Amino acid sequence: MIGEDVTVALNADVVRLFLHMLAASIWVGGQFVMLGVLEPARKIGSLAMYRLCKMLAWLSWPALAVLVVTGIWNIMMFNGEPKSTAWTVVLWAKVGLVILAGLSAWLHGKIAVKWETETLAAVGTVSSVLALIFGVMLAG
Amino acid sequence: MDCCYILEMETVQLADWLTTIRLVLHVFAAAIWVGGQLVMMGLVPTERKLGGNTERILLRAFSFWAWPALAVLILTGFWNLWTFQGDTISTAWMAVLWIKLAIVVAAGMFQFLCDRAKTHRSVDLWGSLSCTCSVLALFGGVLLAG
Repeated sequence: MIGEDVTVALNADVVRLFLHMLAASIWVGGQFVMLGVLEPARKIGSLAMYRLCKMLAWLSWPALAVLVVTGIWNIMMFNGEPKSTAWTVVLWAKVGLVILAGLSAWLHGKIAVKWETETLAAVGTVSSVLALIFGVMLAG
Repeated sequence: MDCCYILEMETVQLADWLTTIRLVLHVFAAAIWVGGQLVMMGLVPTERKLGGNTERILLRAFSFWAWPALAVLILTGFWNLWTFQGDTISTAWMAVLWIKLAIVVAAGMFQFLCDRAKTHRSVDLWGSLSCTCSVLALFGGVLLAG
């Protein structure tokens, strides 16, 4: 078996992937941190909860914008290459999940009924994690 | 002699299941460690204004997720390295790898100090140093993955 030559190069691909990874970290990681800190914040009071949610939204929406832009940039890198059917199916499923995650997060900020916000947060988190898994599958 | 060269493009395929598991675990743990720290940098100063024990409570809640994530990152990081076995590795790649490892150790140490900090100032100092190291380690990881 002949091994490949492994080296490093600072190019546009590295910038593209770094931005995509950093934005995904803020979007997905932020939701998980909220899962951990929400219960203690609830005990502190409703003002703490409100501030946490507001701050997370302030960080998350720009991250989602970067995710979408770099995601389109990622897809453009495969332009002109033949793709397997499975790859195309996973790509469209991922696009659907990202839309679902964004929509759930947006509605979560608009609705005040407790059980509905919890359901939307859960849908948003699960779809974000699935989008991350599909992203890894697509990157190969 | 006339030769015809037919350029055949490779069909883009999905990653195999083992690669998917390895990379999903690594990326997911990185998201919690790095993304969590970045989000905490935004949350802690906001919540500090409420006074009392708020900052400590939030840091404890974050640690509950962060330390297991770092453990997964280290384990899957070694798994990633193992996949390069048999390849010809350049000096530059090796140098970036060692720098990344040093940065990961520094990030862990700074986070440890942040968890044990007694003043707001030291929480800010160790927290921001840990976060900076984590972002640099993420960049190093992307550079190594190519």
